[in-house]
Parts: sequence; structure tokens; C-alpha cells
Amino acid sequence: MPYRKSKVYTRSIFYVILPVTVAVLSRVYPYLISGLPFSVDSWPSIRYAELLLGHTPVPLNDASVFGGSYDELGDKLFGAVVSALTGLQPVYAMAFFVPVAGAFSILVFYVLVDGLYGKGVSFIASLFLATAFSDVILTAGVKGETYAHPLYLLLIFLFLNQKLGWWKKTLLFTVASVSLVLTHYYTAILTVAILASMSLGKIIFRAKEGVSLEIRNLILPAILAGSTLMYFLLYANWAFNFVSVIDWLSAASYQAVLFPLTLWLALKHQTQGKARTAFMCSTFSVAVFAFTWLATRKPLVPGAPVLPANYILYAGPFIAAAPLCVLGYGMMRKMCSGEHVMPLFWLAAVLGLEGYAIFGNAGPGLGLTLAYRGVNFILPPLAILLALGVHRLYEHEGSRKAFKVGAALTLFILSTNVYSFYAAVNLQERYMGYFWLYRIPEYCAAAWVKGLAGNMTVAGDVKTFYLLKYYFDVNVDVFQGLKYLTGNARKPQILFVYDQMFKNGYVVYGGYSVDLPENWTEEASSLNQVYSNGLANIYVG
Amino acid sequence: MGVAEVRLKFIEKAALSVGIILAVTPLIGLTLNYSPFGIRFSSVLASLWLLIAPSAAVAIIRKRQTEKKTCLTGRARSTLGQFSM
Repeated sequence: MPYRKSKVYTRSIFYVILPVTVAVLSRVYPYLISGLPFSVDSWPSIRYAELLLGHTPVPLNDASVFGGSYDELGDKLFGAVVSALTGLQPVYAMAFFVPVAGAFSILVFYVLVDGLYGKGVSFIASLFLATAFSDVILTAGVKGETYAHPLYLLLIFLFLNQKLGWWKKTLLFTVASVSLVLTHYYTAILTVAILASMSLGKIIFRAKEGVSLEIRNLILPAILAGSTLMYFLLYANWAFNFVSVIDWLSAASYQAVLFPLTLWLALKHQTQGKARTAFMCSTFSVAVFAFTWLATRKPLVPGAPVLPANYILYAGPFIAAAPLCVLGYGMMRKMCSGEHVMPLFWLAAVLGLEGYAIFGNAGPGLGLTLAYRGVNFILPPLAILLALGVHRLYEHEGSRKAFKVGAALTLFILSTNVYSFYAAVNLQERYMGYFWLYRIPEYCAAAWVKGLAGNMTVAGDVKTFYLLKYYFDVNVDVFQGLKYLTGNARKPQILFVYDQMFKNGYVVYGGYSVDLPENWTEEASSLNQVYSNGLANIYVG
Repeated sequence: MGVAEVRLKFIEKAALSVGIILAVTPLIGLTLNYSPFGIRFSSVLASLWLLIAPSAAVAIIRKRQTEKKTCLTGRARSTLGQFSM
């Protein structure tokens, strides 16, 4: 018996350790291969932490010290504290510890799912989330979003947790709320929507079951909403100009439409039948495939590029996940409890935001940003549904064929996710965020330009802009470089180009690159080359 | 509240600890920055110690109290069990 107990214990440890290890390694991998922080958004945060350590104690919104960028403070304060504690420079401390902090969201996610559905489902869901391409890419950088991710999952875990006492839960929730608002207000607003949706769903379920409604559950989203509002009123009131009342109303209306739909899906009479399930599975797969195929034909979001046909492969995990999610939904319904269908409300709140980003009246820049960031928030509830679907195939269908199909789909999803990550980081695929990976020669060239530039303006793309403007404090004009290289502008004072422009073009706002004409190197050569290190060239006009 | 609560599993405690550390660290930085000490090695170390030591003391005391209550409840249950036999 003791042997059996230790074997079970070892298996439990393995269930946790494997996804968390995969998450940490994959998120730190870009830093390990490049030696520099991942993501263009890293540079403002690192610069802020360096200035903070150099001037502390200092008001955090002191424009004379920090320039104009002083919002989303969580990761910056964390970086400053870790740097002070370890003695490492912020650029190295943050490049390593912020993605590690982001990876620990998998641990929180594991216990969240474990509490609802048990170890098996939790293990599969955590593994899916740990390897999900979008999640890995967006939480590997030094940015508010990375640091906000574990806090966002912690808030949902605390909200759903039944074991903690009410006051203890409320205290921990308040601390985590304040920290999340300080770190990433977009995540905070979305979390308010998710928790409000879950709270209402919970109350309606309890009313249906005829037990105490526990209205006090609404206090938790109210705490987060109050913290967010306080942050906007006291510290970031410029945000009210950024998003208009019409935008708020439009976004809220998508939530209002999706909530009753989700409620109907959660409450409706369950229909059985293998043929019906098979039909639904194939319909959802075809629908996701059609949506992906459409993205390779026309821009789905204003400002988005038309993707090459081979990008359907990168959407493979979503296409393969669709039938498993249908099975997972069925499994969730079988559990017959309000707690178990909460991920549906979670998913609906995020889909409401995605709906607003794609079909609403968000501007081209805001719509695209919300759309690709929103994918990251869809993944946790989707991973839960998917894991339930896999679990259903493994445990409940009983046939060897179902087991094989489940195993094949799982392997396909995991391997395609890993390949997508490899394609983005190592193969530098054009529309997969290749420009988030900086290389040492690019950094050296930027440091060299800092000595040369003075008050001059550098013409360079968005990748160059973030490094030069937000880290080295050099003036950069993104569009002058593009105009000059396409033959539509006068000579720039300084031109910064690098080798990836040959393959992937010139990165513009919105997170993708545009093609340069074939003779762009001739345009560049008509200037005086003053620096080259094999990867980056600098020209003076 | 303590008696009605169900005990958290080890992994839940670990996840909560990690999550709360991540939530508290920026708040420590925020507080220190607005104090005369600023964010420096010694001030961070001192503030972490000031946070961890009292929290650990409270946790130990509460754990002992809970164990006592559990022990008493267990004894009462076993006594009642004997009566029912």
C-alpha cells in the first residue's frame, strides 16, 4: 500500500511539474537564444525600471524623469524590486524573471481546473495552455500583459474557490485586484466582465437549484471594478479620451447578447445521440476552418493583413480543437452543476470582446490589437473545454478507436503549437511576430546610433523605433524610412536597416510588415554607409 | 470561519503563495518608492522580512489553533461513535 500511495503521489507531482516546466522553458527560450528581452514592448518597461532605480524615491508619473510613458506599472515595479534584490541589471533581471512570472500562470491554472474537474483534466488543460502558441508568445515578453496573466488567473481561481473562507478570499482578492489594475488595465477590465458574467450565471444557477443565491459573490467583481475605476480617475484619466462612451456601449452590448446565449447553452435540456454529436463536431471544425480560410482571402479585422495560404497550418490547433470542445461541452453539461459550467461564461465574456474587436466600431488599430490580444484570453477556457473533450474520449467513450482519435488530435495540437512557436522565433515567419526577437548585433547598432544621433531623427521601422525611442531615447520616424525606401521621400538624416527587411519587409504599426520594392537596397546605398555589423546597417543622408 | 473551511491541498497552497507573491511584489515596490528609503537592496530585504516574518508567525499560530480544534472535534466524534455503538 505505501508503494501504491507513493506512486500516486509521484504521478500527481508529475502532473503539475511537467506543464509548469514546459511553460517556463518555452517562455524563457527566446531570451536564452538571443540574450536580449523578447518583444518590442520590453524596452519601455526596462527603461522605466532603470530610471526608477536610478531616481527612487520619485513620483511614478514624473514626466521629467520618465518621459510620457508611465502607465502599467506592475511589471516595472516587479523588475525594479527583483533587480535591487538580485543585483542584476534590469535588462537581464526583467528579461528572465518577468517571463518566469508569466509562466507561473500555468500553476494557478492547474489548481483552478483541478478544483473543478480533477487532476486528469487539469493536467491536459495545463499542457495545452503551456504550449499554446499565442499564450507563449504574448507571455514571453517583458510587458504588463505577461505579468498580468498569473494575476488574472489568480483572481478567477479565488472567485471560484469554495475552500477559502469569505473574508480571507476577499482580502486576497483585493490585494490581487489592486496589483492587476496597476499592471494591465485592459486585463483588469476584461476580468471584470468575466467575473460579472460568472457571478450572474452562478446566481441564476443557484436560483434554479433553489438554494441560497449568495449575492455576495457580486462583491468580488465590484472590488475589481472599483479598483479599476479608482486607477483611471486618480492616475490614468487620459484613458477616458482614448476610449469613447460609444465604444464602451458597443463593447457592453456584445456582452449583453452573448450572456443570455451562454445561459441558454448552460441550462438547455441535454440532447443525446452519437450522430448529433458527430454532426456538431464536424460542423464546428468546418466553421473554424472556413473562418481561417477566409483570413487567407481577405482581412477579417480592419487593418489586418491577408495571410498566406500555408498559415492555415498554424490555425490547425484551433481546427482540431473544435470537435474536442464540442465533446467537452457535452461532458461539462453532464456534470449538472453551476460550478462546472462557469468556463462557458468565462469564454462568452472573452468572445464578446473579440466580437466587438472584429465586428464592432473599434478603429483599425484598436480593433486589430484587441483581436490578437483577445485570443490570449480565450485560451484558458478553451483549454478546459478541450481537455474535457479529450478526457471524454479517453475515459467515457470506451472504444479503442475513440482513444486513438483523442490521442492523435492531442498530439497534433501540441506538436503544431510547438512548431508555430519554432516558426515564429527560429524561422522568423512573417506574420507570427518575428520582429519581437532582437539580436545582439541589432542592439549594438542601436547603441552605436545613440552616440551618433544627438538631436537628429533616425528613419527606421517599428522594431527599430521601440528599441531606439523607448530604450535609447533617440528620435525615430517610422514612416520616413518606408517612404524613402519606396522612393517617395527625401533623404533621411540617419537610416537604420537590418537583414530581416530582405525577407519580411518593413514593420509598421499594427504588428505586421509591408513589402519593400526590389530596388530598396539601391535607395539605401545612395546614402553614406557609416556602420555595419553584418545584420544591421546604418546610413547617413 | 476557520472551522467551516475545507483544508487546501498542498498544490493549492503553493499556487496561492506564488500568485500572492506576484501580487504583493509590485505593491512593495510601490510602497518603498513612496517612502524615504526608495527601492534598494537593503530596503527591499527589510520590507520582505517585515512582511514574511509576521505572516509566518500568524500562520503558525492559526495552524496550531486549527489543529487543536480538529483534534477536539475528532475526539468528540470518536466519543460519540462509542456511544452510538
